[in-house]
Amino acid sequence: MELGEQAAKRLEDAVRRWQLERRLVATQFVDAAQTWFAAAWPKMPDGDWRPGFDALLAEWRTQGVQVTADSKQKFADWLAGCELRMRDRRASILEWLDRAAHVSASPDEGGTPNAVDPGLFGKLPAVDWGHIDVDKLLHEAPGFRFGSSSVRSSSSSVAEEDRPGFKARQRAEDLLQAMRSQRETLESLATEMTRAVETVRDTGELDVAKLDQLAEGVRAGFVLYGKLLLAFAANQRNLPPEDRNAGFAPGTPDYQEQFTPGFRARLRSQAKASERKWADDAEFYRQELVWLNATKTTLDIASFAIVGTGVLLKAGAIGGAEGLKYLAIQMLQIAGGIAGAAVAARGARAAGASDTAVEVGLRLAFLWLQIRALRAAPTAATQTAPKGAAPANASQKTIDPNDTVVWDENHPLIEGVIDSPRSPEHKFLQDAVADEAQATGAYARISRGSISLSEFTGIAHSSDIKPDFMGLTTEGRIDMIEILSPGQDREFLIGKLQNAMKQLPKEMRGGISVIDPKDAIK
Amino acid sequence: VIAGQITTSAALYFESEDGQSILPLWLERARALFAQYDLSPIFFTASGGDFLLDDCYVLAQAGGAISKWGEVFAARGGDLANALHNGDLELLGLDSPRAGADNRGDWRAKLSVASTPGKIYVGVDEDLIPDPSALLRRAYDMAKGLFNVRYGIAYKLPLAQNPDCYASGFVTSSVSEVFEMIRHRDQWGNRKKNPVELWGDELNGRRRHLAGLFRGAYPASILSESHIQTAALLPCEIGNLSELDASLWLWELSDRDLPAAEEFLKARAALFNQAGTT
Repeated sequence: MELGEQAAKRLEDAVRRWQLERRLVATQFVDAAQTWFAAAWPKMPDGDWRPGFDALLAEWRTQGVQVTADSKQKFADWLAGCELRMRDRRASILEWLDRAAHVSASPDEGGTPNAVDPGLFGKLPAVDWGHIDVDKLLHEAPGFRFGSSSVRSSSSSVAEEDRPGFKARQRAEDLLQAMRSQRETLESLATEMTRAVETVRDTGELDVAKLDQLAEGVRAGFVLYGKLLLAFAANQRNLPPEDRNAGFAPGTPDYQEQFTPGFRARLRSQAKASERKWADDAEFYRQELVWLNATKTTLDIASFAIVGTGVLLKAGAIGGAEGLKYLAIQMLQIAGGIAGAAVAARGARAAGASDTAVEVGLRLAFLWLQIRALRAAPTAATQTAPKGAAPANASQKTIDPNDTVVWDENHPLIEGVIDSPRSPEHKFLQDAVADEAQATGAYARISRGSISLSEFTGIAHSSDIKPDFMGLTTEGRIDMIEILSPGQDREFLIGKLQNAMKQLPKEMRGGISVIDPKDAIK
Repeated sequence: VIAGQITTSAALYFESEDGQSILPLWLERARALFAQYDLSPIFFTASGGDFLLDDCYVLAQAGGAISKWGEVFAARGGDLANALHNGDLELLGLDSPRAGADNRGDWRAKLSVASTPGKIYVGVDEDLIPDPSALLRRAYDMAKGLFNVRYGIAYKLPLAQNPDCYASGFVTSSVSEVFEMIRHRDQWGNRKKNPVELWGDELNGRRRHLAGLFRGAYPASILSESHIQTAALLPCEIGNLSELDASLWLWELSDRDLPAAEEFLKARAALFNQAGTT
């Protein structure tokens, strides 16, 4: 992926995030965007970006987002020359969402075999859904080899060839095989992506180039898969009625391996009603394509969201309660926008996820999203300090393009480790709070979990506690924060902090807070 | 938490001395409430002895540990009885989870008592005890002879709004709020507090609710003589005022009476957070 394109995609991510998190003020967004694109900016290609950008800002304003003239100019200047590909893509995304939510168009029965509802899918960028070259598609599908299908290898008898629709059956077999290969590739990519995101979560090291590469791979993979499926749907029309869906006969490997349980169930229903009209079949494929598009839309909204797609795939493959559990946990990795998450939810439900699993997944995704957005926002000190001057009570701190705060004497190392066992969201919040405190430069010491109050303050406490976060401000006050675990009583947790605070000398008493991960986004 | 689940709550506030311990009789009375509605299992959290406020235990004999929410909760009913008998506990909370709950905040009933700052909370699902006044009476019966109750309120709130924390004047924070606190330390310290936080400050500070000031008008309130005098409630013109016990009164208000009662208390400068009284 070209650097300019990469930057444009990141810009799209940032824009989407900002749009959906309107509580972040425009100035914060501008600074956040600057951080995100600082590295890529000098190499951005020239382009006619300004009209689209101005239109976008106007729309944001009408939606209630406050964009100051200063921040707008600042952002506009900075973005000068950026290829604003997002302008068109954004419109497409919204259109897909709208259409996916209101599937009503009937297929064009009088058209060419490949002309399956071009109105619905014709808007996908960079994909010509109306003119699909099946042979080219099959060549593109990784792992697929012509002539490997069962029809061709084991059933190409004269009698078989004489049956009407022989070529169409061969093509159906080829397409099925290509789809299977493609799904394997996607699952493999999704696994890699999950690993990459886990690395980010566990180590804080963000390999943006790798994530982008994987994102692009998954996105391209889904486009190809969608084309294959569409071609398969179109090919059905070339089969005699009794052979339609033949490649999906229950019990065949293709039937078993290639589709989600929900998809297979619908397919089974279709197979039983083979006398149904083409319109029914088309509706069936359209629904599958809507699911694919919904999933793909998620990919296009935020690069991290592709993990969600991989998770959906994998959760479907795992199946049952374990699959749902996997889905819920892995959704934590998703940092897509709210719209993206809503689409992911639709996809998750289509894959058989329960409302509860979807709700949990979304909540975690939003949590992740907000943390990322908040982390990208500037600190109080840097907001108020004049340009080029060191913020009050803080030395010059460096933030690299990946938002990593580089430690210095005024941004203390974080003491202690997170106690275990802790839930993923608990650990994440605990890290996020400590990191945020470190970044402000307002704390002289920071601890996390395993340090007791007595140890931290040097003052003996009769009922000692180990808060999830403690920070000694540069003014000598101690802040304490707890993150609620499922088995803890929130009322007592706050009381615990209050009692601990009372044991400190008055001039050392700071703030206390309890975060319930379930209510973290209010 | 089931969306829209309404909880009937009663909060009692009592005078306490430092180190006042909770007596075993409280646990017996609490158990009776859970038993009446066949609520099981019962979790508890305690402070004192070797119990930690961070932890959740099961009110059952050893061997009855429960594995839930990725954790194992030890059965320490025997230890709890011993600790109460030895006068080791200053805080005790018991609750019974709803079927399918995914955290401890999703309870059907909860009872807690804290000798500091002197507070009892009883909350139950609305379908178990729909009438706040009835629950307030029940809570008082449980506290009678154990704690010197001077004030009490009963109300209905969605469980999702943490009615137990409302009684204590606690609020939880969103990530944004915590980050605001961290980023803007100075402004945060001088922020305008919400009414629930102000109540928490009062409970842990001047405690004037024990000396005649009101938190507000509620469907049912337990009042001391000093409350009656502060608000000049006799003769009672709003709602129904009846004697509950020696020197304690029960003031019951219909939903329609509540706004007028609030105004009535304001007019008499009887609210703890009124200008001139803080």
